[in-house]
Amino acid sequence: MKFFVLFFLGLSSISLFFPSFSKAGHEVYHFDFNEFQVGTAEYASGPTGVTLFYFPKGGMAAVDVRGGAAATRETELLGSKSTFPAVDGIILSGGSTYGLEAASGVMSSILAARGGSVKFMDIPSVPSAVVYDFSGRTNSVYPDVELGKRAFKALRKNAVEIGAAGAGRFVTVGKYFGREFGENSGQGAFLYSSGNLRVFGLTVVNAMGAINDFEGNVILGNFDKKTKRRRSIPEQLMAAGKEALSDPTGKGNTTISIVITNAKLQHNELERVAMMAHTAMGKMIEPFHSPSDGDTLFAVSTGSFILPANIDAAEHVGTLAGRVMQTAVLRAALAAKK
Amino acid sequence: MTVRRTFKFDFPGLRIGTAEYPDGPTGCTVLHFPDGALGAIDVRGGAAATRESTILDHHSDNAWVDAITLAGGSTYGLEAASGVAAQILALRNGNTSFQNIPSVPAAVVYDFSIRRNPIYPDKALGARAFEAAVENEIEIGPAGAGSAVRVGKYLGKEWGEASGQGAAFVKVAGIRILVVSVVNALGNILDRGGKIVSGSKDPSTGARMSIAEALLARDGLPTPGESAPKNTTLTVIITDAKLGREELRRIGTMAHAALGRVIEPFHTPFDGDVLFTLSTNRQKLPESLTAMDLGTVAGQVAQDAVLSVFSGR
Repeated sequence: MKFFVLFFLGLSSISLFFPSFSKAGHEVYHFDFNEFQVGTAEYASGPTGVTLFYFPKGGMAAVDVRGGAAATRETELLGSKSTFPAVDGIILSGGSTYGLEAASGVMSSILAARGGSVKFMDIPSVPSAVVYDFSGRTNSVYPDVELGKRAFKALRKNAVEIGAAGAGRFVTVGKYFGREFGENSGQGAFLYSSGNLRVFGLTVVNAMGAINDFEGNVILGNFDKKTKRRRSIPEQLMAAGKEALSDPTGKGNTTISIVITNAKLQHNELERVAMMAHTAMGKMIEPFHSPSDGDTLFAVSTGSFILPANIDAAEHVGTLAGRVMQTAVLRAALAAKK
Repeated sequence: MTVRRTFKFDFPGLRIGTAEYPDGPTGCTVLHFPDGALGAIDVRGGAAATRESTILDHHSDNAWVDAITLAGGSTYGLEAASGVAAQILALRNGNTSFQNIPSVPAAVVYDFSIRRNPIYPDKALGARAFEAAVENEIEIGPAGAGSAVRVGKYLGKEWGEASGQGAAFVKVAGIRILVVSVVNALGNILDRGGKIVSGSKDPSTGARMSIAEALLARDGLPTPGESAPKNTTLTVIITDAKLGREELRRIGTMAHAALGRVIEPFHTPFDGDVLFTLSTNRQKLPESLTAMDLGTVAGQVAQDAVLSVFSGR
């Protein structure tokens, strides 16, 4: 793929000005978790895209909204006051608030699959969250009903494209001190499995902050083109004091994520898993949950696996989910750099 | 063991006092704002016991705070805030007109796990902490609300280690940020390089263990010892920058997430984690600094406050 990209860059003057338009940095991640399907669809003309998760037998879901600028759909359904916090699908999308339209395409596909039944219990639920991916492009192409339908058709088990793909097709990280310090990012995924227990995570990383590895080194974002160095944003800010201006135009960032487990959990336990996983991501994305991040994390349980009674399910799955999400962030960065 | 000592800083408009019952041991820490402070709250724990947190959320009309009380003694310890309120009433000559009713939010930690008695911070201890309040210094280590707290108890309470309360202070572009934290976490304390500095210490070998790695290595199925089900990290961020409530709330959210780098795992079902963010509103933000910058720096200072508990060993 690297060679193809170089070849493409060499031929196209347009792509020399907009090198990110070429579809660099992605790969297929294979895993083993049969209880959901995942599909991506993209508009190359944006570029933009969506990542859809579908639960043929449904799933219980919770949401953790931490960003100051979150655009979401059907998250109220997932709150602790909800009687039916169950979902058919979750869709992550580019196109900022406009991109919420893609969920309607998925709804439409499910209606068709259910023979047009609109009985109360047959009305599907497809919560959604979006990322702002209009910076660095001049068009207004966004994921719409049609792209949502295409994602539904593309659903498959046990594999998802990571890096610059799906909702992560045109995202960047590390823009705290200005867009020029940002680097192309993407979506990342990781599965933890032990016996029959599964904890899967996927994250679309369009953060204002930069990405750390597990040792705390910045590996993506806040890249100074002159010195060819990446720096910790908090450290740079503290060292520079007065001189360190964050970029006032750096709006429209978001990390949207999903954790899926087959562990049987109560709804409040699932909310706890979502919060623990989201906080753990603060190790890899620094700073996180800024005023211009719309950070949202969904957690879904298919409930097919019952943990031994001597284990607190929420604490156990929440701790594992934290590590899963940290690894997913890392994989987004590594895939995007390829 | 952690070491008790005095941490000094420079913050006009704030007085901090601690008081303890050595026969608990337990204690409380009072942060008093003689001219008031604007406040916000971020509750992340699954088992939080708080007082007056509702005046700090976005549904409330007024988020003006007179003092924050942090206490041991679990839910019983909320009584200490009543001692603080009583002291303020006395200062105001008994005036009970609406505008003079003080607001004293509080949050507590469960510190009964390594003692057999039910002694808790009560009204008298809250009043004593208020009377002991001084400017520009705080007792850290095993002191105040951090008198008998522990960390790293995920694998059983015999795996836990002594903790305390910590503090850290910076001035960035002339703006002050002080963070006080009472660290009674279920999780371990890590340094910024990811190395465990306290918690999950194997009682037989003395080696400290990453909880996440232990879970992964044991194929996800640990055999927990006698669990210590009540844990909490309480954190207070104070700045003198003039800020709106939304900005204060955002700074709290960012700093609480940043603590996930030094406390792992954090916000478990058995942590009552609460973070207060307050501003004395004395200084206009310089043009070079945004509320987001303060949130970023506050995250770093909060990490330092947690780590300060263990740096005196």
